[in-house]
Amino acid sequence: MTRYITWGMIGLFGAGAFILALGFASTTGQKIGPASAPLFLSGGIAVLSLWGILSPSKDESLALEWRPLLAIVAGVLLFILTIERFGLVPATLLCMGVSYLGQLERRFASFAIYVALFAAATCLIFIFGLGLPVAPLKGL
Amino acid sequence: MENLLLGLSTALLPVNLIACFAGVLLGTAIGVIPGIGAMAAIALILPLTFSLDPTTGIVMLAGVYYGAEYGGSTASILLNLPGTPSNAITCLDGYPMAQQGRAGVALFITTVASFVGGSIGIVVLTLLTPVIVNIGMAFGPAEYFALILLCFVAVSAIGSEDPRKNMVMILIGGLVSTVGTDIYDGVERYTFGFDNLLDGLSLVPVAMGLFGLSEIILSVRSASQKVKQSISLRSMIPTRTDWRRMFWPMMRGAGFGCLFGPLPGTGPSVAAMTSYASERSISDTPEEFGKGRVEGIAGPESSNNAAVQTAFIPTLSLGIPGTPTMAIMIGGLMIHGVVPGPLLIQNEPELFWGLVASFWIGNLLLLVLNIPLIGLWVSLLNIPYRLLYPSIIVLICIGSYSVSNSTFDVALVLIFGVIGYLLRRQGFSPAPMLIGFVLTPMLEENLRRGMLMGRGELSYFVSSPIAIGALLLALGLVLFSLFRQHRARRRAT
Repeated sequence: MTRYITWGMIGLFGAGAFILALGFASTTGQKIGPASAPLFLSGGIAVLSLWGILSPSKDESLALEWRPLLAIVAGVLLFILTIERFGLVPATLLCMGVSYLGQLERRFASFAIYVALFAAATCLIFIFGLGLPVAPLKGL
Repeated sequence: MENLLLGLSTALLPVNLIACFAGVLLGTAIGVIPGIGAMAAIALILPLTFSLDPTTGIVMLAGVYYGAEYGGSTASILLNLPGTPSNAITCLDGYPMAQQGRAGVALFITTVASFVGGSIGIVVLTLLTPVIVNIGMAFGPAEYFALILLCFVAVSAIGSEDPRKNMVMILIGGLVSTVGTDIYDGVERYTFGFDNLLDGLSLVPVAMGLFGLSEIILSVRSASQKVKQSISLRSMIPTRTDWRRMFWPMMRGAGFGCLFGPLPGTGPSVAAMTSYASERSISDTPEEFGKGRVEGIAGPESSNNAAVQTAFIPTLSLGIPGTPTMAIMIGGLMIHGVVPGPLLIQNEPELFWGLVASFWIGNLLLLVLNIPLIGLWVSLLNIPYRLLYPSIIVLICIGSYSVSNSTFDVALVLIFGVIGYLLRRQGFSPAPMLIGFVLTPMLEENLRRGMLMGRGELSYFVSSPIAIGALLLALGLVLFSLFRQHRARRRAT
């Protein structure tokens, strides 16, 4: 069942991109226009997906592991939201702390020491060493 | 000879020597970590090279590539966990050797075989690239169009049981590359009103997401393992029988590596697998393979490193990458303002020959670094993964942020990371997607130029023997792939 859903999703993506590409300028005989490549590529995706649905191959799919996926997505989102507002140190601490929850081991004391040292090292290397234009800490 | 001297004078500049050393060291360190391959390593280091001179940056990236390929074998031998796909074959005999208390010897053989294979690969690269450049000088849009098409077909047909999966990934990569303003007509394609998308998507967030972040998400749950035995320098010395057994497999392996390295769609993994299969088939005792045979390590390791070096031949001489890793290298060159192709040797001889000379230096560094510093790599393997992966995620975020000091690129990394993870879990490899992403703009440009030059006649694309040859080869690969699928289906029923 999963393979039908996967091919179906890819097919929908291709079909959507094809419909959008129809709105680009058209192609003439001598001149390949800006719509040609998107039309060909998205059309190809849709056709291959249809073929995948009609004659699916061996199911090679594995179940999604939600815990690491959600923890890392949340960690990176926090980095995006905090780096410019609060600085590199809070962004690093939050990103690492939340990402850490993606696995099942719970040794927070040793991890806290490691994160503090790592955040200090990233500041030294990226801000003071490589000149990354971000404040180490601001707005707190 | 004059060219090599020019290259050496460039490669031996202190800044380039440091870059080569740093690249090899970082590449080996990242390659040692199980699950993180050469592509992820290059994607991670790429932003660090932005502030460097193009030659220095490329020398560093190349060092990361072959360093990571080498480093991957350490985890294969000691933990039965390959660092890179091409090292997976090393697990078969490397890990049994470690279990027999011969891990040191296995690591030594890996280092020597990698050095020999890499060196033979560099000789072939040095001799063959100028010849291909001379041929490439005569290439027009028809030849480039046909060769890129051949590359797409080869990547689809080779290396997957279901070529449709690779093909659809190439098409998705190609579609993603069309995002932005069309350079010929100024039409905005798939920008959805975002100003950040007007210039198109940069290679860095796409590669970092597909190969860096997605690999981390996949490997978070992998349990940390400790290396149980200590490796001393004395324990690494092979016996005379080991030396005798490794010589010819190394030579044959280098031959396979030089053959498969430049071919599109194959690369180090296919070279290593072919080498292993050939050593097993010519052995008097094939049943001993998989139980700790020296030949089972020497051949594949030599072939994989020879392939790593010779993969640079089409990349540098024609500007066409045969493997996803080379696609990232091409992207790295372009970010540094260097256009790979036949004119590279003419216009930037210091860069080209400096890079070739740096390969020699990098290979020597690998030999020097990996035998005395083996204890360092073993201790790196012992760092718990629960501590390593959050650090790598932060480095990915900072690296992508530094591209244009914008959180938009970090958001793109996140999007492509999630896409890469979902695709991998569904049995799709995102590697062909990167090939499509890098090569489709070139394909589109050559198609448009070809149509103009041929005054709208498609026959222009079959007007030269090279173009016809490449298209026939592509057709042959399609038929071969269909036949293989048909046979597999008949066997299954």
